[in-house]
Amino acid sequence: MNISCDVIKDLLPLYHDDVCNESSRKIVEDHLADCAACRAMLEKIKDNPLDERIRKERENVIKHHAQAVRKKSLTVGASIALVLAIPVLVSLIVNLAVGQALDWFFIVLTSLILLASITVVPLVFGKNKGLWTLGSFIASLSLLLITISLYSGWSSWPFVAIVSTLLGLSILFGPYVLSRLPLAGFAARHKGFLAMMANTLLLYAVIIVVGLFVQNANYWDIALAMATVCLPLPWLFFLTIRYLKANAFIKAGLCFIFSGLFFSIIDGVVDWVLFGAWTNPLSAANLFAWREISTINANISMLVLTTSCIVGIILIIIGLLRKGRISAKSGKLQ
Amino acid sequence: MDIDFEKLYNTYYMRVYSFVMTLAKNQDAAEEITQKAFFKAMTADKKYRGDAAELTWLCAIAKNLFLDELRAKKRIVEVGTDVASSDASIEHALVDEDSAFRIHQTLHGLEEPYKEVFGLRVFGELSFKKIGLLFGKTENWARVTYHRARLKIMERMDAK
Repeated sequence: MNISCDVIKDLLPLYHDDVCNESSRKIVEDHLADCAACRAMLEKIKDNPLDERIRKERENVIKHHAQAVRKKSLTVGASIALVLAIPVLVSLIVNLAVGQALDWFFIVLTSLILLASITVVPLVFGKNKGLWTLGSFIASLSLLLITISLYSGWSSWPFVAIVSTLLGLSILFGPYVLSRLPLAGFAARHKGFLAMMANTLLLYAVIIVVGLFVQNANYWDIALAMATVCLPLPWLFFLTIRYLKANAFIKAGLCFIFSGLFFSIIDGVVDWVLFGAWTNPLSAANLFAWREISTINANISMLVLTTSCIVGIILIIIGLLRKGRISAKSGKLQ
Repeated sequence: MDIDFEKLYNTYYMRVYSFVMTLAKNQDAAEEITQKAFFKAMTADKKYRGDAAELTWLCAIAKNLFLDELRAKKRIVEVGTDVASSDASIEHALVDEDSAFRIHQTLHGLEEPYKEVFGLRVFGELSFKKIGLLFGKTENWARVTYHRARLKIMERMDAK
């Protein structure tokens, strides 16, 4: 077959990069066997001192720029650190001059270290700034709170503050931290589960720390019972959304039904856990009577349960229909 | 589709550098001016995003910085200190960087989309697939355009 040089010229880049299909490759090779001009063209494509020169120059330029940026942020970080050192020095001198020993100085020092952890640390660390900043923030906050407690008549309130801060940060930044950590195997594939576990454990940690601080005999039953009774709902949501092999409509429908069931029976469950008496919360429901508290409660529970179940079932039906329709169309499950 | 922002930033950085090279003809000076231009852009305009529309703006900043330096250098030369050595160093720099300067000059004169595809490939080190996606075209289009750009540059440089 007589293919013109123009067509071969178009194919040459694909042939050179080895992304041609079998028949194209054969056509090009057949043509090259006889055509010196196109062979020369192929040599031109292969021969690339130009590319090399530009690539080397580019590496240098980018490297120098990265170094300059690094130097600049280090300089800014160092300046901030120096500025923060001034109040530290001043308080050191004044505390020594006025007091017998160093006490409030340490509070000033730890609060300035806290400030440095969110200003200087992100500037000084090149890699993983976020993780380092978060870590140093938590560490310096803990140090500050413990120092304040040490110098103002010790009690265990700092641990309440620290653990609750950890819980808050875990809820906000847990997913971010987990996505940045070098995890492998099971951990890498179940980051959501790890985040949920971390938050659950921290919640219990907060309850324990508060209990130790409050020192009230009734606290433990109530606190632990309440937390354990309430946790199933977010866990059900998580497990459904993350692990159930179904489309979004089915998952949403299930979540609606779970919430409805949960909110309508929670009153009864709490009563039973705390006081040992189980009453069906819906038994007092009478949609025509809205005067007494028990009736109102029961009516609302009934309405919530009914609405959420209806919405949930509708969503599940839509989900099943879509699943059926799509698998009928293309054999692929949504 | 996740476009690697670092690679795009590198592309635009190198495009500005390439432009400054056609002015300064000297690698060290070009690097310094490009760095200053980027720092100025990032501190002056909080909305700096580093996308293609701002390439022109960045080049304008770089050109002004280059002219400022030129005026400053001229003043030093006119004052009379080290006139001879400064002349020699400028010539020396020109000879050394002549080939780099010619490459960038040729690049600067290249038409679109060859200029941008070449830039994205060599400066940004983006895959042909991603380059195609950026233009809304196929991977093969990017590959062929890149090779054509290279051939054009080599032809024009040989012609000079």
